[in-house]
Amino acid sequence: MKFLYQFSAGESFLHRLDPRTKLVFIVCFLISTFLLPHPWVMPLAIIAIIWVLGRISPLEYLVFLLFLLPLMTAITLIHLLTDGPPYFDARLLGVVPLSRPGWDAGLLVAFRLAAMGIAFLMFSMTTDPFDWGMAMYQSGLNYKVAFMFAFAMRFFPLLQEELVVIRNALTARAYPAIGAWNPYVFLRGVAISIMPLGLGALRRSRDIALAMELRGFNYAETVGVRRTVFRDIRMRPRDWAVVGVSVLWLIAAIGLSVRLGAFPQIPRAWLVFLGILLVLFFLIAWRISRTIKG
Amino acid sequence: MTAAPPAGEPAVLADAVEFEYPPPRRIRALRGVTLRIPAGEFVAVVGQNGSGKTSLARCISGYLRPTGGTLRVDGVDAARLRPSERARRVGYVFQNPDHQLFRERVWDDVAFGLQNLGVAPGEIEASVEQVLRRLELWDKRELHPFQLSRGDRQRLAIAAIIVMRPRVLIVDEPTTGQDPARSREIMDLLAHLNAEQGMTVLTITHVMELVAEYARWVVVMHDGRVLLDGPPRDVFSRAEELRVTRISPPPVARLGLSLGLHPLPITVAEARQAVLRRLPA
Amino acid sequence: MADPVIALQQVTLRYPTAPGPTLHDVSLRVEPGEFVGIVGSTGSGKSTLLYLMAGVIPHYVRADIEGEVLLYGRPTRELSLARVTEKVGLVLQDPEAQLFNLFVRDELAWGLENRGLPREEIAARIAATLAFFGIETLEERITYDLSGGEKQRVALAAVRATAPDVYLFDQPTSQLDPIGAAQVIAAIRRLAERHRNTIVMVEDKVDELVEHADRLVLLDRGRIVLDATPRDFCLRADLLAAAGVRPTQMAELSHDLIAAGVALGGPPITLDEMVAALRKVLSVPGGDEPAR
Repeated sequence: MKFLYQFSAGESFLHRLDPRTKLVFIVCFLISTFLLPHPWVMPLAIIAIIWVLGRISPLEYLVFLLFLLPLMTAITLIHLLTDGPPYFDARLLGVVPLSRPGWDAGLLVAFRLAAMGIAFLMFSMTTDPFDWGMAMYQSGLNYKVAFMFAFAMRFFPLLQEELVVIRNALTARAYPAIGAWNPYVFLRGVAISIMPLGLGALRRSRDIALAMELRGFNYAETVGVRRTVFRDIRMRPRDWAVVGVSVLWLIAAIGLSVRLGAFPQIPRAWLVFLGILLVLFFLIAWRISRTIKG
Repeated sequence: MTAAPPAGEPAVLADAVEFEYPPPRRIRALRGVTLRIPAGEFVAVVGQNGSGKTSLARCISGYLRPTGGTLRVDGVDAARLRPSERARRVGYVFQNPDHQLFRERVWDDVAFGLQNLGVAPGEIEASVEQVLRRLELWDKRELHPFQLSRGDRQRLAIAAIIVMRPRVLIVDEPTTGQDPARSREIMDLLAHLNAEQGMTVLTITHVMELVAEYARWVVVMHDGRVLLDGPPRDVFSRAEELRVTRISPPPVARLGLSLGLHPLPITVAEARQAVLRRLPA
Repeated sequence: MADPVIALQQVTLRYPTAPGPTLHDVSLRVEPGEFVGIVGSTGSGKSTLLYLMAGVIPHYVRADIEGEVLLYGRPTRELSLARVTEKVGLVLQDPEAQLFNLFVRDELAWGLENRGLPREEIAARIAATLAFFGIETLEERITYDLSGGEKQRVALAAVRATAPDVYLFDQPTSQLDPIGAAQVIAAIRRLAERHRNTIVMVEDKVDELVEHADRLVLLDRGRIVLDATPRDFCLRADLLAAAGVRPTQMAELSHDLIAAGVALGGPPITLDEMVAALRKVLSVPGGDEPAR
């Protein structure tokens, strides 16, 4: 099983897109998802895109999809039971009313959530975290921050493997960590496992920090040269094409949404407020990135 | 605390054991392992990475359930036991001690297993003290495991398992990353447990010198099967068959093979005797 | 006589939190092109010694130091760690802790990216380094999928790509299985044989070093107690025992047989030497020389 969010190397169209392109696509895709009325279309669309353009079949991330199902069911159920009239003729257990608009609203939220999750999965499955980091570096993010982010993702699978060993070791101490039905036992098992996982990571991180230092992590700052980016990351014509298509799609979706009357009624004041928040967010992020030396 | 097994019950009885990792890995790690290890034996399991030695050890300890064949450990199917029952029969010390430190004080870490087994506090105190003193960790019982040296952490991991008095003890590569002196100390400890308490000891190791000195039985794994098994002397003398596993007998054994010394010496002392005996008068 | 590459002059070192000194009055010279092995048991100070040579102490780890540590005649404390790493490459014990990029190719590029080398140069060095170690097939592999031996070889290749003059090794095979260890030793041999790089290797056992090193240095509780050729080194059983180090099995056997009055010559410390010597002594056919 491909562990969740793990990058799988490949040569597909999606793999070869610049990470920034994919981010733009995802943002446009997500916004459009929240504007359009037919909920089941979007998750299917993104699965199809991943399959055709990314050459990754849904079977490879089946576990993730299966994980989504109970979540979606819960959301639909909550809306079904808590939203108002008109109700269905049938009743749950003959007593509890089932809301019709709740059914629609629940499904809408559930499918949108699924679309969102799968879209992010698409990004992490087809993007080398270091490409992402270096693309951000080239766009102005501080090198060390960009590198650390990618580097964390590189170590994620190792931590997952170690966690498996640790839980087996816990079982060796007569603690039923694996296959426990009791939620308290299970959660306590997880809590106990964090210590060896954390300590192991801490110990290794000291060695890694030394190894990085020895191969010049601070060389550029100390000696005063500019780092090279060896990998070839740039926006190519196809990237711009995808960006163009994504923006056009978003505009079309907005138009369609307004035409169908599905456009959410957001007071103008909220939109302005949201816009200001976003601008502030980026300003602060930029400032923080600049203050970190290098 | 635990009664001795019925006389004659082997510690491990494997019949055509198979193990295949679940999809998508689908690696057939064990392809028909047949093995009988008598109770109280000191066994070394050797083989290249990928030979199945770790998978075999994991099956014996009950973590992995064989996908084919039958495997009885201490007379029962270890995979079907609850963790508490399993811990009393089979102990498993993993290779990396850092993966096995669960409490913030050395004392608590050793007591942890006994607490999970529901042992009375008075008995826990007595057992923990005995084991800590035996492993020279008593003075460090208040320390955080993180503060211990690597060698001490290794001993702590072993202490935490043997305190539960399993009848079979599996130790996964206790010597990797240890200097020769420390490695010998650990092997001495295992030999002592084996001799004193009749614990069946099964150790996975790469160091043939230690196998020659400590093990009474060697199981050579290759390609998911048992290639050879027997006393170290027999195994090391079958050099042609060992070649495929890329395992090298200890230097003195290779010396004995080159010179045709009989019986094959496997330690320096034996080599000395063998050479002196062969000198022209 | 040319300047030594590395020179330690009466170095005494104490870590801030340690009760006593880790190194006492250590003096050592490493000449260009030499392969020096440093042997000691746990706690002997061997890793500390290596870290001094690598500039890790004092720049990355603090310690109180008396005496001088010189790299090509210049004290390491006057150079930045960045400058020291231009000349000195250090390979550590843990294969898991030295690779932090996703692909092997990126790992080899990383050190060069940090130095701001042009892209073409980086590409050329990567190709040359992969070819040198014969690991071209590893170029596209993901680093965390590699075996221990492969990881260590990639770590070594990544260091070599930065083209240091001196290679330092801290027990590079201690975490590896025998096959992985053999692969790494073969890779290190290539460095020694093809380019006569200066190499310093720290180990807790002598078996590999006797075959490859020009000189072996014995550390006992922070002091250098022996500095000799491998053969002479293995003969000092008394010093080795006191330091908690065992000689090779063959050296031990030599010692025992000589003590028992057997005339072995040499004395032999490797398997081949012992076989040859004993063939003569025992009049076993198969040797090339006639019996004495």
